[in-house]
Amino acid sequence: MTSPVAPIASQLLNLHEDAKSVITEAAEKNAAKLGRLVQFDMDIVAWVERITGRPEQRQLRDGRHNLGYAIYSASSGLYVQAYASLRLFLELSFASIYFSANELHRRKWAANRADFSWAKALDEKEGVLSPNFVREFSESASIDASSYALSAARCYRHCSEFVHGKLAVTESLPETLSYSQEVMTDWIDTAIFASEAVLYLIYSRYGDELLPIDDGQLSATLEDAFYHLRQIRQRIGLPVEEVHHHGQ
Amino acid sequence: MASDLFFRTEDIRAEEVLNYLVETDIDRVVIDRLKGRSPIILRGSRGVGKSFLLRAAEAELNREFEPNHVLPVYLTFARAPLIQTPMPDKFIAWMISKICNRIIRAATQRGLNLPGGSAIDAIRGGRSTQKPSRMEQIETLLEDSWKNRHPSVPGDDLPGPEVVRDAVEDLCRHTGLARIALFVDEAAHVFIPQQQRQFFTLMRDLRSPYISVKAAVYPGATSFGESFQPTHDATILDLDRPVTDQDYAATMRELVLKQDDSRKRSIDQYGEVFDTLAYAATGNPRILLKTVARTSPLNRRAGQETIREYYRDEIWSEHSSLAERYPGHKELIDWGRRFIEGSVLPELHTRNLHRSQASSYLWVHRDCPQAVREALRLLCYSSILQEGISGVRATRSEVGTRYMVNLGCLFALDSDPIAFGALVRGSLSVRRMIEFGANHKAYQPIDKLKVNLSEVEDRSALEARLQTPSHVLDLTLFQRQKLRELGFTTIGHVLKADENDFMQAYYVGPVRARQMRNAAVAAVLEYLSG
Repeated sequence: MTSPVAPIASQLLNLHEDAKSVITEAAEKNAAKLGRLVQFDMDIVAWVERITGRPEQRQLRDGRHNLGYAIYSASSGLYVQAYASLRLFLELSFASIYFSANELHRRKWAANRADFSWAKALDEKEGVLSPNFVREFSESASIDASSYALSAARCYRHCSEFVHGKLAVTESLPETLSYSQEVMTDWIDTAIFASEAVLYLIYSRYGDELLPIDDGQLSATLEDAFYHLRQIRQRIGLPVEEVHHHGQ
Repeated sequence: MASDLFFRTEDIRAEEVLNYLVETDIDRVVIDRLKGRSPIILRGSRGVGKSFLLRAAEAELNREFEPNHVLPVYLTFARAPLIQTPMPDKFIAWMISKICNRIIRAATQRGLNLPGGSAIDAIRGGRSTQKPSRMEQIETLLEDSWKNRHPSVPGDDLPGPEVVRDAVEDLCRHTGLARIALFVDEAAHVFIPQQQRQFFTLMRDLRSPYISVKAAVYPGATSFGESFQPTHDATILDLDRPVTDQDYAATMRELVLKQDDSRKRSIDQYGEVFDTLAYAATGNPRILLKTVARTSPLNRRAGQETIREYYRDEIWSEHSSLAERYPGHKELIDWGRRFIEGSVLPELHTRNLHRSQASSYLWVHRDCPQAVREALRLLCYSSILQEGISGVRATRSEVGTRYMVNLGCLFALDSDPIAFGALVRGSLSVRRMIEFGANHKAYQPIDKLKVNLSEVEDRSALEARLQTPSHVLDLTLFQRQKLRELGFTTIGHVLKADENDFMQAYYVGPVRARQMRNAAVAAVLEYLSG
């Protein structure tokens, strides 16, 4: 005899069934974009797994876990949760890079003796993708850092609007657990920009250190994601053209 | 304020390429052929737009993925020189592993493949139920090999092209793909000739209904090797943009404005200057963009300056620097420059000042020395020449090939390049050309090209070629028999001989003798630089 299912479990399992059909529809209709997102994630992991023996590696892994939850939530129709997890992915990734350069602050923060401003780490002018910060780790990566800083900051603000329940954005959400192409498209686009920015962030922090000993895996990630950037092409031996500056 | 122009397709994000496409009839034909089933070799000078069209075909296939299910995969072999793989099998392993890597990535980005270790796996504690695909296994094995991670795997046991072909078929069957269109950019640019030959052999071996390879190459700097026959194993498409097309100037204008419409006012104001720059570029968009970018502000004086600087010096120094990459071809490269600068351009300039119909064409007899043809092909690589139609009749009904000389090089010769440019483009006629017969004195000294083994860096391939029996030469049965009768049993023997030596045989006159020598020179030319 099978034991009876508790009413709460039954309700949740019903909901789970609804989520299953949302997953099927979401995966079918967004296969290519989800694929792009997964590729960014795979490229990020290629870098993270090479940052061995450092405290920030754990934090970057936690960040990726949240990207996993975000993908799962968005595909299941849990849209607000998807934006929230995406925001956490951004926060943890940016924080880990900040802490990698501020060990004392990291220790205080880990011991709960100091606060940390997530928003500040993501700030396009003062954060860890600001040219001032990046330059100290990679002169060449600082050339394009601002555009990714801006992109990350935009994604962060957009996710925050959902987290804070801003009517302007939450109006678009379905009232029940169901599939919305409009919201899914917005979420995936945001997630792609966010993960592209995180990949650039990790490259700008560790590229100078890791690329000289790269076995080709890391440069393959750059070739795929940032082929259009001259400094990246130059760095990994792809064709570049001298830019003629007026008056020179 | 005018913004920076993109000189290279690589500067443009792949997904934005179609926004910059200014489509001519030629472009449409090329893009459609690139999207098709047949293997294609897209041949064109540097900067003529090969990468752009490969990317455009890729973007269109992506856009039309439903319902065609053709997966475009773009890759460049430009990083080849960085790979320290002196052993041929390592180089092939590197090429195949790179192809697998790009296919896996393209399939993942289409949602057709989910590699193990993704964030989705991670939240399940890494409990992936997915086994690596066959393609991923091959990639790992080959990567391990060329990176020497597991040197114990002998070269013979490594997966070859046939295994990749099967893996591609697997992928297509499991994912509902119709086929994979593999776009190989820089297929031969940066490889040493030996590696170029390996690539084309691989291209032939990969041929299957599930994968079609499209490779971009340069005229005159590509070694196909013995097993790959360009006309049989692929369709060759030559990418030239004829300046005589009616829409030429308008297309070139649109090409610049698509990138930066803030230049419209100055281009309208100095239309003559812009048009001269456009014609000077002789159908080469990168040269046009480069010269427009440096003509700042756009006006007559700046235009004259640009034409003089670029076409008198820079284009030539780029050509001469080819000798560093192909040291065995140095003599041909240097001769080509002397020939155009000394014998062709001054003559064309003088003619154009005094005749009603302008010309920028030269014609070379079909029986000219093979080394001359090769030197002219190298000039095509640098955009100094454009190879036109072969089989063109000239004076006394002799047959030969017509080449167009870069108009910028011609304009730059005049003290007022803008006015001279306007004069030439207004009355350019393909019927007017300078003719060079089969034995023109300007061909000296490369008409007697000698192969100097000591100057060739990696001479193993060349030595093997010289030992090859002479019956493989592209000659008639009669000519091959005569070579045998004369005792010239290897290509090396034929090459050392003089045309007079061949004429010792009955019924071999100057024309046949030249053909025999040309065949031997042609057979070794691509081996001159290793």
